[in-house]
Amino acid sequence: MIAFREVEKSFGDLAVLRGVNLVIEEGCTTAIIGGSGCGKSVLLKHIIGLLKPDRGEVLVDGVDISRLPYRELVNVRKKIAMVFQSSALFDSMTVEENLAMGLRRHTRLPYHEIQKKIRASLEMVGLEGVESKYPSELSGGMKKRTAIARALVTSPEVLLYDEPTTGLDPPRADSINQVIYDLNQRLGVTSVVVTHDMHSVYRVAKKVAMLDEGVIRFYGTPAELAKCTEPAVLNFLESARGHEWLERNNNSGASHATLDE
Amino acid sequence: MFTFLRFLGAQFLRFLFHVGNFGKLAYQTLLALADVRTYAGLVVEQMMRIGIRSLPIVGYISIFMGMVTALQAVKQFTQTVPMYISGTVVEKAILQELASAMTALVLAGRVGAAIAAEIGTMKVTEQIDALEAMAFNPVAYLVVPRLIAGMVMVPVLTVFAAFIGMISGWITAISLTDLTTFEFFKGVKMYVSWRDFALPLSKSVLFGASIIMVACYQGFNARQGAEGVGTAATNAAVSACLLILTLDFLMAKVILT
Repeated sequence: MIAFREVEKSFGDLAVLRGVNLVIEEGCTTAIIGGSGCGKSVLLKHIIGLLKPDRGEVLVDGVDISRLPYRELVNVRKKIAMVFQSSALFDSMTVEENLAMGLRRHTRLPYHEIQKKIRASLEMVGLEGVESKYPSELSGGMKKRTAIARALVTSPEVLLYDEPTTGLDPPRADSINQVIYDLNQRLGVTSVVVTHDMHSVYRVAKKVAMLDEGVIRFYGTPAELAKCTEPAVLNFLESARGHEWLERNNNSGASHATLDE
Repeated sequence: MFTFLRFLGAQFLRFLFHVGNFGKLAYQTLLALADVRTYAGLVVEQMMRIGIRSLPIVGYISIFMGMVTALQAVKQFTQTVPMYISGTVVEKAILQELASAMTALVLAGRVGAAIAAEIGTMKVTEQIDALEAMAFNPVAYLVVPRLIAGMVMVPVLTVFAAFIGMISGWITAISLTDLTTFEFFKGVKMYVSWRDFALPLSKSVLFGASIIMVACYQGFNARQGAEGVGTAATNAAVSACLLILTLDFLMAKVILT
């Protein structure tokens, strides 16, 4: 179980998190939504210890990871995997080397077992025959899938996705959403998806948390979100609908379309 | 005047900030030496990149370093001191000073800038965050193998530079004047001492460590975007050159006096 208790985080004078309280349920997919720059990715990075809170606690399995010594934090990180917004594949390595890295370092599996796990992970995300390719030879969607496969290969208990569909066209974004949904159904891993794409939220999430002005404004199911009357939530949903409408029109070639039309 | 003093104060604080963070990286690097499993397989690759691939450029500058030193020596000493002293001058200049300093300065540009750009790119594309998220120690993975490779290969390259420099100095000296090979090496042997070997070797180990640590520090502190990576690469080369020249003087002072 992952929980945030009164988490505060500032960068210089900019207070990003101002007392976040949130519990991520085990085994289900929770989406964290909010406007750009509201601190969603900052919140996500706290779960894996890439950022430490100025105040408050980040609990993973009941342990406050912000106060753990480095060696113990590494053990927590072995249970959690993260898919970065930019995919963050190691560009000097092939897809196979990217996936093998964690296994070689953290397990003592023989070569053929590592190969088997790599193939299985790539199959799970619908990628085959790309093992010898470098990230620069892959499309945006393939990079995201490879990043998900790299996160999966070490069999983590928790999967964190930072804006997994950003920058992808609707069909590719849909296929990534399908992969996230399938993985949660098949493996039962706890997943946290940071996104501002409401289509993604309705496709993959069982729970939704909305971050606004550094605090959680809403927590509930997607159905409850649709009925929420909180002004901040309504504003966000309204602008997200407008943004998605624009994106759809842009992708179908109507880039000159305006909201009034 | 007040604005100027404020500017100086801000620059001094910025300098202290960097010194403190550099010390922190050095401390983290020492601790990361224990994480052998992370870096063991990467040291040889880094030795190839830092050392073997630098052989052509180091060889090239060494040829001209020896030629210019010999040319200067024989021209300056004509009709003033015995010509075999040219051998002494070439030996002292190349072994004690030029081989280690020139090699380090070239590597600060070639290797230092490349490392800062590589690590800087990894920083701005979240690859360093990805390393951490995958439970790797980025310092053990990125800094330690480069540091070990630098501290081994810079002395090796310095020995190579000294050898090539001496050979080209010798050939230049006997080709341009009546000086014989016997006289040249008589001059070389006459004043040779343990310091001629201890000084360049100890300096080159320190230079190797400086180039790598400065480059890694600049890479880890690269700001967002291509411009940030470019700035990190430039800063790495310039800072390493300044550090090398400062250390060169300090080491010479310590060992020669």
